Amino acid sequence: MSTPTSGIATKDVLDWTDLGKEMWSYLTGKGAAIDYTFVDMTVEVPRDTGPDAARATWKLDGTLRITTSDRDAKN
Amino acid sequence: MALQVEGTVSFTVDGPGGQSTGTVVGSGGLVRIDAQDPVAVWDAALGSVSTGPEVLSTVADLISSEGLLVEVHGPDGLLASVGAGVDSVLGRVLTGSRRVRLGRPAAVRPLAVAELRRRPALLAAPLGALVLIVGAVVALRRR
Repeated sequence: MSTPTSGIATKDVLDWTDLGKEMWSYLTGKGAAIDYTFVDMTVEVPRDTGPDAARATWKLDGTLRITTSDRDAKN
Repeated sequence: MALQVEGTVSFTVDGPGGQSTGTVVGSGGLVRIDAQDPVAVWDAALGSVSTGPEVLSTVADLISSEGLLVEVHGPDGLLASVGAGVDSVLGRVLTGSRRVRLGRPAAVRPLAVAELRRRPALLAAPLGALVLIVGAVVALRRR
């Protein structure tokens, strides 16, 4: 997966919701065109705290290209 | 800001709510999600320690603000449309966001039943109101 190396950790990420917002905010930066390629990527999301907590295991495969338009440039 | 999504990602999920496969297909401003078992996907996506169905309204408003429309489909048809161009009073009542429109009742029913089983407290408020109303009616008729 091609991921940005900076720009997300500018604020404190408290939970998954915050992380999602930060990711989304970064993705929608001006003029961004990012390919997200997942090659048999596995993500485990715990349902609760603790090492033995039940978890959901996601496996992703494929590519999404996300592009944004620069709103300011149109004005 | 108009967001455009192109491409396809297939997924499998294995969680406490069961297993499911599905695809996410982006086609410009429309993102279509197809899930073989929507209940399993719903449970896996919103059942973690720091999320819950409450986050749905936040996500819906966020998607809408970016000009995207997300359609979620299950085996029985359209489950929900979320995001830009959606304006639903029922969605506001049920999810907290007007940007969520529920799909066919037959498609939504399994998801609703699963959520009520997981959080029976959701039934408590309507049932409590019903008991109060029936009690008030009975009391008035006795006068």
